Amino acid sequence: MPDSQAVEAPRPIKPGTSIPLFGLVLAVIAANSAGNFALRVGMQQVGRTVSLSPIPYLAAFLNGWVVAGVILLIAWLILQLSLLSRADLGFVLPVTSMANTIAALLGAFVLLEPVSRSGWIGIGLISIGAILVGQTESRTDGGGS
Amino acid sequence: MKWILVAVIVACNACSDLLNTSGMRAHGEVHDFRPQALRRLAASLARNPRIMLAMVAMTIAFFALMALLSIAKLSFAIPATAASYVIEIVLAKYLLREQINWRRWAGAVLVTAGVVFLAQ
Repeated sequence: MPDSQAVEAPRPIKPGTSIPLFGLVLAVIAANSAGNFALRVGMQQVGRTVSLSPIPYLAAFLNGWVVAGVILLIAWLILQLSLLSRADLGFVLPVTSMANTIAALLGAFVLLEPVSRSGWIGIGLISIGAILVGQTESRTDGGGS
Repeated sequence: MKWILVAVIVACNACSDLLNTSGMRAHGEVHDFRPQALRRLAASLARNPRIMLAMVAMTIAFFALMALLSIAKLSFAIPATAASYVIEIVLAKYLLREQINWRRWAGAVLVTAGVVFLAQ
């Protein structure tokens, strides 16, 4: 059976338009942190929304922060898939988990949410883990940029 | 019930990430981010069965997380579901044939521990 996912002939890329892998990693982290941050600010403004009806969730889209958050998270999904096309899952997962620490830092310094001592330990451990994995080869299955 | 939901979330997260990785490798590397190229990418991904299955798994994981958060604290839900990091590294080694050296193992364990601490 032919592989239905394969692969149109690649179109030529204009020189200088390709994002380097490190830039793509930063874009994934930025889109995820900013998307979650915007969604959190928006949902705080909208207020408690727990319902079996879809209407309160749709009404939340009248809030600009919620719309911005959803757009940023769609961008994150596209960037994350692009990153997975170029790097191992075992590389992408730990490195992009830095988004958790950025989200916590945004919460602490922008929303002025308190961060406990264990929270700071968590931020440190995630950062060390991400840096450690960031020093490995991004792709080990025989492909690669 | 909450441990069943944790298992569903971890399994669906692992499935979606493995399927996304496998689907994107079949698709080929993405380097072009101009609007026209992104439209072509979206159309191509919509015809990619592995990516579509991954989206189904992500959706199930999302609603299972919503259900879990309605019966358990965030400080339980996030650390419990962070187990998927280590499980996915193991599956990446055996199913995707990735080479996982000590730095990657250590990184995955540190990130998992970090998420557990961060959610306390």
